Amino acid sequence: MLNDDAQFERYLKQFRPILAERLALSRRTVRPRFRFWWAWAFAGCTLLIAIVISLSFQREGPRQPVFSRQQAPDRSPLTIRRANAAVFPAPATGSALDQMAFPSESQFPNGERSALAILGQEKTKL
Amino acid sequence: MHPTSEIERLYQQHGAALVLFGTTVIGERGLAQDAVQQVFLKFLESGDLSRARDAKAFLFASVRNQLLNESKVRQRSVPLEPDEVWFDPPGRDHSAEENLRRALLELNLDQREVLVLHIWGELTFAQIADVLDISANTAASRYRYGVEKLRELMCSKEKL
Repeated sequence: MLNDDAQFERYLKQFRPILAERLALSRRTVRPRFRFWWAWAFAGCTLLIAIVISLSFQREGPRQPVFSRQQAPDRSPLTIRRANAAVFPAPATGSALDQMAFPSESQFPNGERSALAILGQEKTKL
Repeated sequence: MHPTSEIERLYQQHGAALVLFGTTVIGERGLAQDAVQQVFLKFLESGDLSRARDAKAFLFASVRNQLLNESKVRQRSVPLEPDEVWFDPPGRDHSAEENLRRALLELNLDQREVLVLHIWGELTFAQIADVLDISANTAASRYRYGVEKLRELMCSKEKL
C-alpha cells in the first residue's frame, strides 16, 4: 500500500477534518456592553412607576372624607346669620328650628342615619 | 491584544484541526467543540493569546488543558461513537474515513496526539514538544512509531 512515510502522510492529509461550528463571537462581544442590562431595565421600570405614582397623587390632591363629596350637614357652630337665613324663608319657624337642630335624613350620605332617626324608631317603654 | 477579527481568523484557520485534536483526546466531538469554543472565548476576554510566543501551539495546548480537566479523559481507551464522523474523506469514501478513525483510536493516546498535531495540526516537533510538554525527540519518536502502527492497522483492515 503506502510504504513511504511521506506518501502515507500525503494520503492521510487528504482526509480533511470536519469544519468546526461557527464561533459565537457576536453574542460575546455584545455581552460586555450590556452586561447588566437587566439591572438597567429594573431601574428604568422602578423610575417609571415612581413617576406615575407621583403624578397620580398630584392630580387627585389630598383625599377628602367621603361624606364631604355630598352635601353633608353643616357642623359649624350656628351663628345668628345662619339661623336668620334658615328661619326667615322657612314656612314654619318650628320646622326651621328643628331642621337646624336635627338635620334630615336626606342630608346624610348613603348608609348614614341621624341619631334622632334611630332613637325615633326605638320603642322604649318608660 | 488580539482584536476580535484576529481571533476569528485564527479560529477559521485552526478551528477544524483543534476540534479534531480535541476529539482524538477525549473521544467525543461535542465535548471537543465546546472546549475549543471556550478556549477562544476566554482568549477574547483575557487577551492571553497576545502574550503567547507561538499562538498556534498555545491554542492546541490550551484545548488540551481544557479537556484534561474533564473527568472522562482519565479513560485511556476511548469508546468509538459509531455515527460520529471526524473527517471529510477524499472521494466521499466513508468506509475509508471509518477505517482511519478506528485505526487512530486503536493507537495509544500519546501516539495519537502527536500524529494528529503533526499531520492535521501541521505543527513541527518543536511546537508539539511545547504543547505536550515533552522533548522534540520524544515527539518525533512517538510520531514514527505511531505512523508505523497506523499504517499497519489501516492496511490490515483493507486487506480483509
